[in-house]
Amino acid sequence: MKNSMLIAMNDSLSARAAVDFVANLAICPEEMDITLLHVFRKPSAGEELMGEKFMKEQPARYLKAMEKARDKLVGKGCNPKTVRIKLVEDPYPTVAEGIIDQFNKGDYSMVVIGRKRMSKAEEFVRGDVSVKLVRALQGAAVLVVTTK
Amino acid sequence: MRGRRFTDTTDFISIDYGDEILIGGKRYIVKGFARESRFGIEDPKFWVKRAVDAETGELKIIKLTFLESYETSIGGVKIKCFRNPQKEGKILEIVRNHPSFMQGETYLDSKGNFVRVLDVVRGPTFFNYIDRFKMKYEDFFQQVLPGILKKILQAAEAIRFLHINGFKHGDIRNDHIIVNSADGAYVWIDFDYDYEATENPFGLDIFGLGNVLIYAIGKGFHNIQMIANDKRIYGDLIDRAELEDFSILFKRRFINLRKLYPSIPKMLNDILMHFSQGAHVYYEIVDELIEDLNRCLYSAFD
Repeated sequence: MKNSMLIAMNDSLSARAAVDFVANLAICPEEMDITLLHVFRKPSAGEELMGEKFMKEQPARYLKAMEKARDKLVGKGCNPKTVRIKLVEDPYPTVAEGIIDQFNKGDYSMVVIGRKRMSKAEEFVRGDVSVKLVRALQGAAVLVVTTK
Repeated sequence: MRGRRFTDTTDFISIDYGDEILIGGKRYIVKGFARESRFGIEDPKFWVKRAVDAETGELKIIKLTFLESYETSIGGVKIKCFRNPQKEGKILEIVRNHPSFMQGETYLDSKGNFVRVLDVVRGPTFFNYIDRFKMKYEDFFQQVLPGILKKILQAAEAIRFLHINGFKHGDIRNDHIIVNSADGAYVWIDFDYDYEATENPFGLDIFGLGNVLIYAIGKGFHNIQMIANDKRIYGDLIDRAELEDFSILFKRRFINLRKLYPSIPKMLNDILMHFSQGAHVYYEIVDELIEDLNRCLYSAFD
């Protein structure tokens, strides 16, 4: 069975590290289906109130990061026809919920995500997408690429 | 001299004693503004007026729109906070007649500002309420704490009600619970705060509930300075205390209370340890905390 990979990303260092890791894997890249995914988290009502302009600029910003990631993967031998970009603009309560929903809607066997180094306090306050994916995804490989 | 009349409350600082606010078809005479007392410091809240209904003489709290936003640091984690009057208005609608929440109406003034006209909840804050118990800890633990924990459980259920409706309280603190003098219910007040969305959207509310529990079970907070300096109360605790015994976000707050009061059941102490620097698993939803507390109440106290 052909494997299909979902790479969850934004424009952060840890997302770039995840793409780099996949690009450098010693596999047959031309036979791999890859979807680069970005989902939005629903802002709190207060954020919406304060940062309307900022919010509107976000889709273009992430699209640019995903196009760069696709170029990198193609440059490393991936088939341009099987590296797709998916930007889901309808926001989810959390990013983890968005990735899980998109995973369940598609036909993926693996999810790749970057994880930046966090203190315990930061993990407590901000939460950790990768931990939620490992806990929630059934029948999938979850590859968490951590940054130094 | 008769006060001025305001239908536009944008410049809330200029609305002063004796002035009238016309809102929702009623006339309210301003008697002063609210103050928040924390750590012995009185913090004036000029956008929160104490006023009487000119028709009935009933005392009301009138909260005017103040769009404050700032960045705060909680345990070294920076997070953006906002004051959001619209959110408080929406919560007031969904909690109508709920005994665990302050009650009131929201109106738009002539300039579209959200004005909340609130009933006064009479009674001490939970912070002051706990401070009133001057008995020995063992007596407090046996005679008073079980009743308090049952009430905290109801208060946590009320927060769960907000969360399942998609709202956070936003500022859960010991002085944002009023112990209602009329019936002893714990009533949540001041839910106009909001903070930036994270992957753990209810985490800070749950952390706030954890602090309420720590404050109640500990019969007050205990920090590293108190433990180090008062041998009469804390004995050799300073020698036994470890980093893991302190709060994950308020690093000086001691929360492994069983080391201080061995009569605290392990099961109850374990709930507190979810908020410690030694924790590896955190409560993600308030239901998990409620379930643990419920189980504890029935097995450790009954």
